[in-house]
Amino acid sequence: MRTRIPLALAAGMVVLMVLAFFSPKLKATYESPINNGLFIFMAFAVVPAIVSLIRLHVARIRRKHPDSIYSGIALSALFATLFCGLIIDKHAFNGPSFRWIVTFIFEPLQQAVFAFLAFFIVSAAYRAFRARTLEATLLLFAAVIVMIGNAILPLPGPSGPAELWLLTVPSMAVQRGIILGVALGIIAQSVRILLGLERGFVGRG
Amino acid sequence: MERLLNIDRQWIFLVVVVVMLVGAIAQPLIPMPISSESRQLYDVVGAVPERGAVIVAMDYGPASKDELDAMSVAVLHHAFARNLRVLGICFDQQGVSNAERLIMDVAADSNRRDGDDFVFLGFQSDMTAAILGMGTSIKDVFPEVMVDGESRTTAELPVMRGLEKLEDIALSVQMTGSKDYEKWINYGNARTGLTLATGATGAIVTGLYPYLSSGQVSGLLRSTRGAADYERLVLDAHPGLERSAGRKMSVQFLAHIMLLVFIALANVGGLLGRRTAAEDDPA
Amino acid sequence: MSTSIGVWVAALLTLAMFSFLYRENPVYRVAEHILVGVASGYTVLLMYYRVFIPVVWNGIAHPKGVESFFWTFLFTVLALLFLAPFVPRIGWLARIPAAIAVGYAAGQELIAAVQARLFPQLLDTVTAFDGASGAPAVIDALLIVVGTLSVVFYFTMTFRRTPVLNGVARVGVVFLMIGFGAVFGNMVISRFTLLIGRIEFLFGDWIHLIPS
Repeated sequence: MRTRIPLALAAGMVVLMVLAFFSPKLKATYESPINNGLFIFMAFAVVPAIVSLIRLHVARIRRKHPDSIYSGIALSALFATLFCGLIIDKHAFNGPSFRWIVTFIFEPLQQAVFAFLAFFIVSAAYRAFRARTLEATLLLFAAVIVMIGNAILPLPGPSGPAELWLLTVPSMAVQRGIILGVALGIIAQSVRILLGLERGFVGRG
Repeated sequence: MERLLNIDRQWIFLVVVVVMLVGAIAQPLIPMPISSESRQLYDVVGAVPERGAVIVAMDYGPASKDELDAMSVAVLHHAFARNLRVLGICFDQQGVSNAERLIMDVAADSNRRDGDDFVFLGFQSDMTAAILGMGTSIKDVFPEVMVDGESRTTAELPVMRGLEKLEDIALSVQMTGSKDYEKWINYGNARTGLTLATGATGAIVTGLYPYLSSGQVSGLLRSTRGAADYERLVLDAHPGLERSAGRKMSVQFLAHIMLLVFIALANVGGLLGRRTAAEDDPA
Repeated sequence: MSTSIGVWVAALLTLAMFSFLYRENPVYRVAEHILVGVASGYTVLLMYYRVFIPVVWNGIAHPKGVESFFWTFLFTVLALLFLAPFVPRIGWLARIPAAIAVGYAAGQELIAAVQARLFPQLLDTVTAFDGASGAPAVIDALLIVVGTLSVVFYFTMTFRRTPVLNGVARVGVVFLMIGFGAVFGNMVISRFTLLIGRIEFLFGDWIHLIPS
């Protein structure tokens, strides 16, 4: 029962979605409530994650874990944000104090994390981007053409700029091949869910 | 040569920062031609009739902000300058606050009124369900919006007059740093015939060219280069736009040369190293 | 230098994050944990104001009709099952809303895979020669067809490969390397932009070394 009910529900939803695509009446009856239902699901799905986060950090503080001070900082930041958003900026999502936190704390931190990637891409390219084999040479050649064409100077190509030709002909063919492969994989996966063969989302037992 | 090839990476990091700083200060002028796909997107926005409705979906968070904010501002500026009705959306959880502020700022600069000329529809938690729902009724997906700090029913707004579903929208321009563009293609364009255009980060833009070729996407902005192209096109016809991406492209010029020098050094050094090893040990 | 407290806070947090490039240290860990806390708070507030109040609260307290109330109530009860794992005996109930969401996505993706991926992309591939005038256009069309088919073939493991089929897979590898090179080339401009943004902020908005 613990696995059969969820598997049956999943299969039933696949059938309903496919039938609703072909039947305007079914679509008119079920589309809006189910869409709204999904909004509610995705919003509530956040709750276990937040509760788990709070429990983890509270447990660390209680146990006097060596990193408990960082846990205290994380929880303080969480509750300070909630305080600003719920108490200080009443009834509005993007109020002035919340906006300050987003502009001067959240966004700069998040942007700094991703800015690391620029350093690592240069470091990795210097250490590992060597034309040792035919495949590596092709990859290097294509990358260099795109890099030069993007930001340094326009290189002449078979029909227009070289980097654009590369992106719209051979690279496009590769991406299309991947799209087709992924599409076939999605069809196979959906049929597996329909037949109850896909059990990843029901866990064990 | 061996020491140069195994240099401590902190020195590489320092070189990167110095080169970019020099580029940011010097701002070399790089005359790059405008790419054809950027011009295509500009023409698609230009073809929307006056007071036609355009969705600007800023589906990105802080991780892609530096790359895509310039695109969003340029497209919004263009749309407002052409007196189009703009519906702002953000399906990225971490980008909603930024997207709302951005559309408010550009609208204020363009003297456009919230609720009359544009509205920020906001966020919904499931992108697939939201786009599918908008195919039937936009107001059901976003029943309430904030206009001038007050909660209002979407249906009663002047900007939403005649806009029931996606088929009533002339164009949707999405800025994204993830594969979310597939949802607009799968559920917006394929189901309702919605005309789509996309501004994408460099990390994912190569995946969009098959859709551009098949006509499922009608225009494409390729990372900061595309944003800089679009800024130039918009500035030619509608002045007052800040060249944020254009300034970054000046720095990109030096940064790319730096990377190519590093790659060349590494390959030459590697080649010389292999030759030396072969000479030392012919067997 | 900037006189705005916010800019100073942002600059110091940015430098705290960048200190990781030297090595992991307490300052970096403080910044990291502030990010975790603020990001979590952001998500909670977003869901509360933009989904819970307009969809759940208004759907139950101010419904459009009986049917609307019924559906909102039903899905809210089902959504509450996401909290079931906190009670070990009924933890399995969380699979119910998960199954509904998975089935929904699978059904929609199944249609999209055929309608939006397979058909349009195959059509564009087989019509690649339409309107191709002149040798360069014909060669481009040929490359697209050969490239697409060889890449699809490269990923197909269903049947045994003969020497001829191995050759086709090899052609696929050649195209894949060019494709990955193009991805890398575009990724560079993307990653550099992220760092340029931080440098413009630190040396422009904060220190005022870069002219605006």
